[in-house]
Amino acid sequence: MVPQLKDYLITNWNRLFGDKVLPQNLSFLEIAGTTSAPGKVLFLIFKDNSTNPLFLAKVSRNQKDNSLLLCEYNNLQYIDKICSQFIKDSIPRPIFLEEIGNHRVLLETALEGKAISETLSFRHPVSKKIISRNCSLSIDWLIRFHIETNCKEKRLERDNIHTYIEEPIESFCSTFELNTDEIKFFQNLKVIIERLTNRNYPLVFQHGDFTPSNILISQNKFGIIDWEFSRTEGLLLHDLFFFLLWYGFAQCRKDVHDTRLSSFQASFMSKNWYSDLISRCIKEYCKKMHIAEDSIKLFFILFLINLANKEYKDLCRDAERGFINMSKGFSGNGDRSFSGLIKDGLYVNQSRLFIAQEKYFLNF
Amino acid sequence: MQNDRLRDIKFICPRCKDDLINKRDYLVCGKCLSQYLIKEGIPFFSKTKYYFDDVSKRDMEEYINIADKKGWRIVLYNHLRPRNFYIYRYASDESRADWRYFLPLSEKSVVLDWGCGWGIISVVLSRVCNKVISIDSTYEKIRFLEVKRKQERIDNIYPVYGGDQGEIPFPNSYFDTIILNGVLEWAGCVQEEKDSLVAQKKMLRSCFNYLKDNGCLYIGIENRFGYNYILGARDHNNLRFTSLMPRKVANFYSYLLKEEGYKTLTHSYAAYKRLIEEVGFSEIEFFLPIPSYQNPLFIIPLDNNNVFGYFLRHLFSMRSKKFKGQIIYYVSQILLSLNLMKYLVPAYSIIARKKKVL
Repeated sequence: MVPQLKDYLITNWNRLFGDKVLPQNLSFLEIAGTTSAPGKVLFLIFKDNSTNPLFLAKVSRNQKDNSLLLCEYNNLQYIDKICSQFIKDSIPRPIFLEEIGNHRVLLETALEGKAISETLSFRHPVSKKIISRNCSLSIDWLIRFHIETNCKEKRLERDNIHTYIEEPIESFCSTFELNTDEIKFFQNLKVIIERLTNRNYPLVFQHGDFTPSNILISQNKFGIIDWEFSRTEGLLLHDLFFFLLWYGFAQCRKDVHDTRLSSFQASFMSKNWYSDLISRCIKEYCKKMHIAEDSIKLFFILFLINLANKEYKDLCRDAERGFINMSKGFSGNGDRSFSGLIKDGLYVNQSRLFIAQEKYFLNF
Repeated sequence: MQNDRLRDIKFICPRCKDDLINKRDYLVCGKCLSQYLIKEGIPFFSKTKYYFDDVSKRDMEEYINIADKKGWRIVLYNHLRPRNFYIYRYASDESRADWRYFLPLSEKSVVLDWGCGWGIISVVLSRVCNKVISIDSTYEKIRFLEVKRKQERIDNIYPVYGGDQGEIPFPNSYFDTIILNGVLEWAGCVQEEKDSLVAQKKMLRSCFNYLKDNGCLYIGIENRFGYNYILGARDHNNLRFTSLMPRKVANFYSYLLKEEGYKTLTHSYAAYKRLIEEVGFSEIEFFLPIPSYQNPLFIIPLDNNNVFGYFLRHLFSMRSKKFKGQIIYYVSQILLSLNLMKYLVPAYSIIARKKKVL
């Protein structure tokens, strides 16, 4: 694919990038993206001797499934049309989505900066000041983005409550074997769901993968990448929760697999400086987006079970392909069969932990 | 019936180089009348009964039985994964073939996966290519691939048992791309040729001949002077520092400790370039696969230091290995500034072209 893409870019350079001088050479740095089906592979493209990449090319690992590339391409174009220059400057600009070398290739501009998860690399102990600052920047951006993209006036109401709330809960309950307390928990949610429906909260443009590794920071610039899971109508707070969850993971120094559940517990179900920061961030977001605090828990469990449902589907697809990148489940129950493994992912265990310790959730 | 699909492939006699005729259970040479068995859809061209023992032979035979009865997935998930996650990943992680994007593959490509092992690379390539011939000198691996191929109904993979003599039963100028992924260093162990370097040259020369004009050779292999070996990583023979020693010393050392000679030769950047050019290839590109060519997360071109510099500044993560990571980072920066990085990286992904001679 790369030789064909190189030829294509050089041949069509003037048409595509008339303002840029034709290069002598293009170099490609490959980055293995997600392997979970359909998965993706990324290529940073450097022109001649430049020290920073000009473009980013994305390819789906499954040539028959380019849905994520299409989603990213369309949504980036949409944002480019309706948002302010501040937002436009912080996202990649899509250039084309074309068939090249037997692959659909999405080409977009490459953003400057380093992922904020990597800014923790040299710090030990972890710098609270850096984390607070990065949280603040990210959340300010997110709030502004949600306000600017909330143009369709789509709301969470009786007509769509089934799609956004009841269906994910039904799917979760039927997929995973729940214990008595968990069943009771979901039964008790009905009252809260009814209250939520009456509040007509807006649906927001969701990034879908708003993690610290997708937020780039450099001296003057702030950038958000990886838009393939974005959707124009998503639930409030999803992106915020995702960011805070994964920023907690980014601060762990030990083996990733073994620490994620304890990191979740420390971040959301315990009292420490990071959970205090999380509380403040959530309150700030809720204040600016006019969300009542008594709705937060419902949004949080929806956030977790949506991730758990998606994770289960992804693991099933991976199982079909033949490789699940998990040597063991997250519950620690020792079931190593693959049928046990695909129901023992990170998010289902976090959901269970939340349900079991709900009363400790961030003092909400 | 299953042998009929082999009619899609042109086989030639390894002895006299004449065409082989498919006679259902045998491939027969019309000239010298040599016969090559076809057993369970797999043509037999191997002379040695070599076995690559990442998994014991007994276990492998058990896996093939289970794969036949219950499916290849059950073998990987329920048997291989609990015993050895690394081998399970090696056998099933499709990202092992991520270097394929640097090759000019198309739906017309005919590809040879020489030393295919468990066959995951062949499976990945079969989705984008016309035909993939998967050849290995370990019968059990080829057998497993054939079981998987049948169960997945992959019609354009052709497993072949052979390749252990540095030659394969195909005509010259037959392939668009040949893959030698973690294979070249084992040439001296598999072939009857005693001199490992000669065995490797024979293999490379064969690749050159079997490729069409403008065809590509891909090699994934370790760097003899990789900094990991300098720091004491074990060589293919499970000994430390042997790749750094002069060959005769390494040979003596190997006899002393393992009662066998040093056969798994790896080379330096310059030596690989020389070897590949000697047999006729040109337009040789070197890439650095990180962390290894077996499971690359990044593939970096080594002809552009700026790209590597960008990787170090923005993509190299040191969170999980604080002290070691920082050492690697700073040493890499120094080596990069001295233009020495490409000589000391742990492994290479090498792409070489057979240019048409006008």
